[in-house]
Amino acid sequence: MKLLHIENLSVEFPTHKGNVRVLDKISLRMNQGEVLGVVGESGSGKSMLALAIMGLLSPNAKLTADYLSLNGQDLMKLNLDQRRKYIAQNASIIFQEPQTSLNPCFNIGTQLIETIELHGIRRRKKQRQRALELLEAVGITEPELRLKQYPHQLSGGMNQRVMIAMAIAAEPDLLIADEPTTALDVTIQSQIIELLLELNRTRDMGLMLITHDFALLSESTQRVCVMYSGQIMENASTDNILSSPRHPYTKALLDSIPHIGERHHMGQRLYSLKGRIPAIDHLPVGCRLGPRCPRAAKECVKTPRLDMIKQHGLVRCHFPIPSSTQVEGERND
Amino acid sequence: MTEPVLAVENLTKTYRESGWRYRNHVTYALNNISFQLNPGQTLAIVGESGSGKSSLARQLVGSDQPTSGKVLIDGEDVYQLSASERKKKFKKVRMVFQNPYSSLNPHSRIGSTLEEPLKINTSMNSRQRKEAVHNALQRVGLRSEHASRFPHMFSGGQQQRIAIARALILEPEVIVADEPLSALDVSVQAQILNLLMNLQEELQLSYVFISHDLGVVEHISDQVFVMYRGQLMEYGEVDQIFDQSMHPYTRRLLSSTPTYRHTVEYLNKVNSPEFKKLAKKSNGCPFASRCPYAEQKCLDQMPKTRNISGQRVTCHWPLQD
Amino acid sequence: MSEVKIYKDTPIPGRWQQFWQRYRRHKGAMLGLMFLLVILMFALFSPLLAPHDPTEQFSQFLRYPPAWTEKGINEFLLGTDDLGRDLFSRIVYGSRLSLGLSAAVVLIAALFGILLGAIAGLSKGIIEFAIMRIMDIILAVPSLLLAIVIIAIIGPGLPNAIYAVAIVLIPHFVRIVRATIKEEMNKDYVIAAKLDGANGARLFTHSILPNILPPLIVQVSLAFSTAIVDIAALGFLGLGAQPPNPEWGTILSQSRDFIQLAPWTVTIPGLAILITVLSINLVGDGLRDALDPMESRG
Repeated sequence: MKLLHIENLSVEFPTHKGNVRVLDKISLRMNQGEVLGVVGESGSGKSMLALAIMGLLSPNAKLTADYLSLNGQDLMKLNLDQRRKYIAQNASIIFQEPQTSLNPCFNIGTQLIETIELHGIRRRKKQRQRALELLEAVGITEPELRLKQYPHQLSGGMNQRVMIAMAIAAEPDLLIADEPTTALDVTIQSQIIELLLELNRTRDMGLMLITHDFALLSESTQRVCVMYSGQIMENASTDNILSSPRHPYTKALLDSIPHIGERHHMGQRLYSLKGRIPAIDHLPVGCRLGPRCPRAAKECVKTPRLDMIKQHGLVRCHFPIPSSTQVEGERND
Repeated sequence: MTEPVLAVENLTKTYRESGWRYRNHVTYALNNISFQLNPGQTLAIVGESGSGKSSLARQLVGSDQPTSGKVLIDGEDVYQLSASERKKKFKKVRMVFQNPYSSLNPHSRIGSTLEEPLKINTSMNSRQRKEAVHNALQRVGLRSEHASRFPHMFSGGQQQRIAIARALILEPEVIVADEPLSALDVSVQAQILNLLMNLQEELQLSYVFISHDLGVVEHISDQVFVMYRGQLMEYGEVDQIFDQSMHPYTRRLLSSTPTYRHTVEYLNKVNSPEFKKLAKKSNGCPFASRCPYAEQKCLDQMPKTRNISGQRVTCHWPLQD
Repeated sequence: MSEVKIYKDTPIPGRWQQFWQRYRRHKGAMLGLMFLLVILMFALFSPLLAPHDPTEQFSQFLRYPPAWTEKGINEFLLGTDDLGRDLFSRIVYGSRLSLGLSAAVVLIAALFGILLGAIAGLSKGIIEFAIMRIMDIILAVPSLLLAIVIIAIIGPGLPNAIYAVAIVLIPHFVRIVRATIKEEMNKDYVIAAKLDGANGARLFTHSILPNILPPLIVQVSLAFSTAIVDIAALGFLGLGAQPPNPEWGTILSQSRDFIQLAPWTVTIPGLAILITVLSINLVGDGLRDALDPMESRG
């Protein structure tokens, strides 16, 4: 049984210029306990995907999908109320800014216990005990004291831990983390990722890690899904994507990040795509990367399909980059 | 020896907490900071939030006065100069902000934003100013017809280009860039970084580059200055800091910065055909085909179990830190 | 950077054009604007539109009801009052007074308000403290009561009513201007302008003023409606415009005694005040909605 199974999920928003499609036929599968990375820049629709799965889209959004199931239950068959209830029991989400996700007027304890109560623990004493348990599980020191403190008294990393504690209160099978570390300092960043992975291992909880940072995914995910302008561009195992990205966009993303250990004293320049991400209501014809793509040719005015490439994964491109191991082999021969 | 274009000596900035409860409580935003920046070089200031790096940027461009210490521009202590002289000196050090959109006046056209510093600081006539604006826009990769547009009509990357054009228009010697990339998308970050490096080469600019991203810092800088809570932790050439860092804090920053370079190197190694070929018929170390440190010897020869101060290890190249 | 153009650059509408596009979508605000324009027409062209002189007494037509009732005659569209004056003409001429006086009030209040607000916003310490505390004191007293007190000191009459209402309105401007300036001063682009070498005055006119304009415009519209109500109230109490001036509040107070004999003489000026204030408020609402997105990225 798949933890998450999405077939052709699209989301449209009505605007005064007509409907705008922010997610275009997304298909995804996640196994129980899997860690999936979703990479994309702003406007790629990666956060929208998270909201769509969680049923948190604004009411004017139109969601269509051939199939959308969480833990074996087809969500499209449930009505709104049932769906909300079901999702709340099976999936949780944490966001980028822990400070804005927590209510500044209440202390940590009140907010945490409220969540716990929603998930069926009624007795005051048990609630408190569970709250302490959860805070300990996310590595917060002095949980007794923290319960009485307010969000502004805790650091950003600490608040994010509280958010995670609230997210795992329902023992969800799927945790979606939408840029969980972007607002945090580097040293804290790695701790939070470490914590998420630990929860994934110890609780067999599926983790969808949404980020713009490839480096963050390299050591934590098994599979990576690259999004651009509301479409999936490449979906393959992390190892395959890192060692030989087949989609030009994935390659450009990887090459445009400078890394520790690569020094360019001689004035070397980074690889960068020209131009900018197209506005979602003003997309180019055919391949959405088309105007920016270094490999673009005539055929790219036709929309490419998300095709399977052997021993790699799914790639949406008419002219995928040849595998790097093959290229090396050719050179050596 | 070349004279540094910008230097600070024992720069300290303190804030006194107001209110009766903290009458004598003084916080140090910057504590005894000293460094030098040579022409055409890039000094990176590295630190996490609250390290005082933005406060330092404000002192460098003169928007805030230090509590004590000196700021030297072209070797002259600016706070020894008269107010008007000082103003002139600070025009050689210009700033690029973190958030490009908020650093541009939303209600004035790009052209007039760029013209403003020329109007105030130079005696150029209208035509000369227009030409300078045109040149600056071209230099940062925009077109002169962009001058009549408003900031919100540009993408984040273009806005940052405009902010850079504004910094360039007075022909400064130093640009202080406070996290100029962190508000931008990954693929746009590379564009801006390349632009900064190109400009440095063309115009012999010096940069004070404030960032928390060590990957970017290593890419662009010549010297690195690591700060923590307003204090100097480590300061040296980029090679020294990244290869032989002596401060635990720097080490910690380096180790917690995510990177996929190791993964890629390792994958490339184990995926290479010759390695696979060898690994198949290898009678060496069984882990060799998955080992990031594997060398030819590992494939040829089974390592012996060794006893290293009581610890047993079967490897040709035991890790020793 | 050479860009391959796939789409033609569509000309991007300017700031005011965008504002108008957003305003037009607001139906209530458009309705308010239409009413306001009609009232403005009345005010501007009263001699042409009014059939009679507002003070001319037709002694044979006392207390004639409006034209659409049984006893009404077409010559007096909205009827006549107890002295036989044509109510329609009085309302039309009254719009002149109401709008004109309010405009004067708002102008004075805005002028001093912006000035004081700017001083308070750009300065620190004792000056700011003094200005803001005085404004707090003014705000602490109910506005109409304060206006009455001021008039009690300087004496009744139209010019004095203007001063009184203006003084009452000043604190609102001061507060909004000071708050926005304080907010703007911390923004990056103001710091950037400072680094460009701009001095205080230049900073204010070039960087800050354009950005406090939207809240200021909204405040003006609010002040306008308050001014109309307050002036009418003062007129009603006999402290503002004096009879036979056809000021709406004054008309109302004079007709009060005949509320049972000639209800229209009370209803109609009341309606005039209501419609004017309502349409100004609707316009203000629309302005706020249309101006607000300016702050965020379009």
